[in-house]
Amino acid sequence: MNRIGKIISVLILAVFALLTVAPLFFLFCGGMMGNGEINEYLKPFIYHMDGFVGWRLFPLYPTLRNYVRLLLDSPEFFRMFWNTMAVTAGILLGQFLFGLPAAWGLARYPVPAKKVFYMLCIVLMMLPFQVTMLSEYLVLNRLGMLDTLWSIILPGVFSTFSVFLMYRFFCGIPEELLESARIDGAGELQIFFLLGVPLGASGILSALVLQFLECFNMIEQPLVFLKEKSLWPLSLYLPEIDEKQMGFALCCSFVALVPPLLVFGMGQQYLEAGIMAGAVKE
Amino acid sequence: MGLAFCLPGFFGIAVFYLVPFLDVVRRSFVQASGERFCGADYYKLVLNNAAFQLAAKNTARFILVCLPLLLLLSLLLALLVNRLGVRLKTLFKSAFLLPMAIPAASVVLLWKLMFDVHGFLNGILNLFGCSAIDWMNTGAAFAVLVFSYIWKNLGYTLVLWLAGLASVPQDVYEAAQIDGAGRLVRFFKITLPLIKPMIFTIVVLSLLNSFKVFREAYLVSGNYPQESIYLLQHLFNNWFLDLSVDKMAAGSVLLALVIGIFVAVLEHSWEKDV
Amino acid sequence: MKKLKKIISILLASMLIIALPACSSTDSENKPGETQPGGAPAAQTENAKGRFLETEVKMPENISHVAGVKKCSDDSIVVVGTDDNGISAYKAVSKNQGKDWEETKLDAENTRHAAINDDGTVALIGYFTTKENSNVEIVDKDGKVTKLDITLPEHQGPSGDSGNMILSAVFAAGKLFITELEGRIYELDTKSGELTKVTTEIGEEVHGLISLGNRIVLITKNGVRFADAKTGTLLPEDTELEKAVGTIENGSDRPIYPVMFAAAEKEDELYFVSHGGIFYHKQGGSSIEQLVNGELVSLGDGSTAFMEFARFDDEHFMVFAVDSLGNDKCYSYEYDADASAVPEKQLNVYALADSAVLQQAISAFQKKNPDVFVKKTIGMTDDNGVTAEDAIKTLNTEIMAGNGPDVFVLDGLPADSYVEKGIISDISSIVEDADKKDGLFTNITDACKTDGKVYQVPLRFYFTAAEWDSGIKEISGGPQEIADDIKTLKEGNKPVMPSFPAEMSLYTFYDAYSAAWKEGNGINSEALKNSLEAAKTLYDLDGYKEDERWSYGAVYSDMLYLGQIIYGTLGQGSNSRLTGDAKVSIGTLTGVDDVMSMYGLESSKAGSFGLLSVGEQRAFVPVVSLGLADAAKDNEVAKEFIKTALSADGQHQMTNYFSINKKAYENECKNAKEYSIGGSDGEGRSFGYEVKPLSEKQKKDLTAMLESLNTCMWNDRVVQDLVISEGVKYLQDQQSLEDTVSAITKKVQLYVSE
Repeated sequence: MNRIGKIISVLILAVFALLTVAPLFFLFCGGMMGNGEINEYLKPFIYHMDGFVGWRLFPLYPTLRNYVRLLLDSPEFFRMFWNTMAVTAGILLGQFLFGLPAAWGLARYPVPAKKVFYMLCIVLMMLPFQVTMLSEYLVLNRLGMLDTLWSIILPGVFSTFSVFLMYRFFCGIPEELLESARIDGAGELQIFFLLGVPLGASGILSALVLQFLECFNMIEQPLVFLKEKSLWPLSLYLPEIDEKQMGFALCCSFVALVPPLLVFGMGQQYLEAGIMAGAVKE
Repeated sequence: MGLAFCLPGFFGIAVFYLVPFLDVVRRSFVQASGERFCGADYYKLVLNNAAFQLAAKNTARFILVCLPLLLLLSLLLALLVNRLGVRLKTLFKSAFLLPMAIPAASVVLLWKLMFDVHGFLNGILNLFGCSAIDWMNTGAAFAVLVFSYIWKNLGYTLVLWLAGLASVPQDVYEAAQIDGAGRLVRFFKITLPLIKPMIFTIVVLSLLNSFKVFREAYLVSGNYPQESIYLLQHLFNNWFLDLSVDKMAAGSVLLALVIGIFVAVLEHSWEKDV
Repeated sequence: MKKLKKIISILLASMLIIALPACSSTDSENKPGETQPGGAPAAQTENAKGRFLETEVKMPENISHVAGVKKCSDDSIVVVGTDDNGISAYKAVSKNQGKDWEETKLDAENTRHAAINDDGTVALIGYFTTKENSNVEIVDKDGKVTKLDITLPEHQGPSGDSGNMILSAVFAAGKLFITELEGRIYELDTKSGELTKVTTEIGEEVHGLISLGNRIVLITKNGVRFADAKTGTLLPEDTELEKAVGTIENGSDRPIYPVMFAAAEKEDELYFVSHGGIFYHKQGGSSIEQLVNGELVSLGDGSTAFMEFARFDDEHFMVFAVDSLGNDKCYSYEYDADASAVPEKQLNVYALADSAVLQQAISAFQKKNPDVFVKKTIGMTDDNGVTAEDAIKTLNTEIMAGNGPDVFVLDGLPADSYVEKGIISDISSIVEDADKKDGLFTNITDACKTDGKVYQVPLRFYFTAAEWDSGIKEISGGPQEIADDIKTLKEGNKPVMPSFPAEMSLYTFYDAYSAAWKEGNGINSEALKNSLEAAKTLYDLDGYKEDERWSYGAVYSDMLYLGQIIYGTLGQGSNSRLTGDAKVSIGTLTGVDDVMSMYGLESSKAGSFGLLSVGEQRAFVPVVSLGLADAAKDNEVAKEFIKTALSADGQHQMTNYFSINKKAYENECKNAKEYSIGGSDGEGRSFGYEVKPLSEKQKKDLTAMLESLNTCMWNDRVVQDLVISEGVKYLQDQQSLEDTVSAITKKVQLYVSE
């Protein structure tokens, strides 16, 4: 009975997992197809013709032409990739320097108006971007940061989302631990660096990994704040691809997916442990 | 000491988020052109606006359908995953987390192919003799939106639930089993009360993600999508395109108020429980 | 802690590894056109002096159609060409950089193309070479003409026609090189006419040659390569240059290109001219230096093609070009050390999409105001996938922050909101002045008024019309009337209408009838329903399947909306009338040239045409509507720009659509040239007709038609997009009429209620 139950649960899970994994597979195979082949399958979609789009599990004539074109003949791809990297590195480093201590302070010390600030953080992170876009533009304009990568990096550094997330992780560290350290004569900075950061490491990493994914998905901010197209990040590369070169588009999607995928693979166990650690205390 | 930790971060948040938000609040009281003070005129205008009413209704409906659905489905799957061995557990968790890593632009491409009149889904339905449905232009669009939200956030929520489940001490279960409590009884009497505090974190994060679904909806079906998926963000977007910044500001202050009240009530009830 | 360190170091290391090659590739991304205006290095201060200034050089008196130009090593310029009638050939030589020309008549027959040697020898090339007549003549430096007997290898054309032709010929290193239709290169002996194949191992067909001292530029469909003229060997690839130059296309029977090269003193250096300006490049090097910014001078007009580029020294260049009207021009660029490096004043012009009309307006203004730099910002360009909404969002943000443009091209922008919010200001006085000066089509400008004031004024416009075989009932009136009339023409299986794709039919209906759907703020769904039903009747009339129809790319639909089509769809459809595949065609008439070819077609197959209307409403479509930013309303330069763009002088380079300026319209009619059109359809049936300037009567009729237009189409991008995207589903049987009308009505209501 138990065995059958287990098989059934694996089957149910497999059905759902299929839905989440299929797109990755689709992107990978599509990227290996020539435009001729893929257009044949997607003809009804591209040309609004009768019938339905079809697909093959594996390309009939696998080709690496799309990958060659993207990786060797598309300098703008690399330029945009580099921009994304610069933005991502800047944001992650900045969060480490500013967001992290703020979350720690908020979580472990009696800060005035703590509750209000905490609620404000939640509300601000939920407001749609286009609402504050104009006002943010004016602030960045005043600071002279428009048309520089700083206009993307600095708002990212102070993302309320990561403060919220890290705050919850820091709340999970038992107060007794910190107290005993204080009794042993540790200073507050020491406690933060030697106890807070390592104990919250999984939480910090999970916030950083989520932020990393966010950086690969930015669309609105660079569009509005960066007029200079040579500064645009990778997330704006894909929408530029015509529906009529679907194979290339899928290939680009797949390649753009690889860095987050790698980070995800590396960071997943920490991400997960982090989410858990933070959640358990709640 | 706490302030010393917080200040640099708070300062940045104030500059890049709080100041812009306060500017939005200010704009909700003045006319976009001419900067004339209008008091609560725009709030009245917005509340009586048919488009705002429709968008607010749709957004509320979307959240009310999505949140429970996501929470329940992910809890169910979490319970199933929880029974598996370590290897299978990791495998399924990775699989469910995958959609989070796919960039929005790629998701949009996939969605277009999937839900087009000539798309994959209709192709599959056709095999079973069903006639094609124009997914994005009928009431089905709402279902598509719900599906894409759940598809993307299932893994994240699932992991959160698993964390909660892991915190339930095994010995409590065993004791209950010895006392002859059935599976359902154990779930409702032991598991659920123990993971109840988790709900606040999960709801806040899921709510945040539900506002992000707009990006896909907008990229797939444009500014004026099928009526049932016309959300507040569509309206804010269109208002901005029309330079009705005053109306947009008033609308978003209202939205912020509702979110604030919702979260406050949620946290209050959660604190009482613990 | 250790683990954390490890992870972070892995993260950073992987970022660096991926980023490093990317970083190096960004350094070399110095595309031409991205440099500072005037080519001044960014470090220079605004007060820096020194800039190339453009002057137009008088062409030789007798030559109006240039066949070839050459700057010889003694700095003399040789031009060979024909007179107005295209019959008599002349050779003109200038020893003082174009100030004076010494002209001699040549006793030659072939004048399509001329290659000129450094010593003054000219090779004249005609059309197809046959065994009987090679159509090649050599004129030696004393003016003696000899016919050359050459035999080109066979060439099989795609439609089975044989016969070969010399595409281009150049003298390089004293030798004459030619390319022909097969894409091979030969050396041609000017004495014996003997051909020697030159093997450059380029591996692809060469369609054109440009002489560059001792080098030759080979033009292939993938770009350019260089060969040593002495040895005939291919020189190493110069990726930077090839990237900057891109692929080169030539739509003419003369070897004229969007890029032209000039040799420098050193063998490994060169100069080139393109629409981006004049550039210097050291071969193999990674930098391309801009000397002249094309945007500031005539070179920026994207429809210009170049014949010859000459360099006298580092401070003096000369460009021979064919402008958008097909006139041959010569421009000189001389360095003026006292001119400010960057024009002191800047004017910002914003358009959602680029168009030839806008570029021509800017060129005309720039020419008159060399001290102003017109900065054109385009929201949606070919190489970025930005949607109209995203572009407008960005624009609105900039306007609200006070960084908006001075002049708007309002096509596709929410003009009504801009008027309502005071973003654009009243330009009635500018328009009245322009009307007093040259006369405007005030019926058009009046129809564009809001509350009796002019906030937007189109530079050009067009309208929709129907054309029908003579002898059948006149096709005119509202959607149902024309649908009913056309329906009765159906006999058996004979096609009645051209097989237009759904989008095109809907655009035509939108242009013609959308004004009648507008009801207060909202949409009159009954009127919309009637129009869509009529469109469907016509669409289904001949029973074409989707893949039997003319193709209609997604790109084209964007272009069409933003007014970039070259000639109207009515003319395209009427060609079907000529081949007997249609009795009626409906579509857009987009300019004097379009009307001329319509009359030409009717001289070949009798018919008549008239505009589409609903009752007394005769709609037109505005193109490049200018608006003055309220923030710039005291800006005399911005006003001057609009004034110039509306004037006959400002419009004289424009060819697409009808001019708002009556004087410019008259000039266009007067200066029109005669030509012939020929082609064949898919089934091999060929057709052709002569296109002639309008007769007095034809012009009078056309003027009356233009003056009768009294309503602007429903000029709203959101509504138009909705109607087209929903309408296509209805025409293609994916959606019922009721659902389509209700979807459009609901969405428009939503749009209006916002």
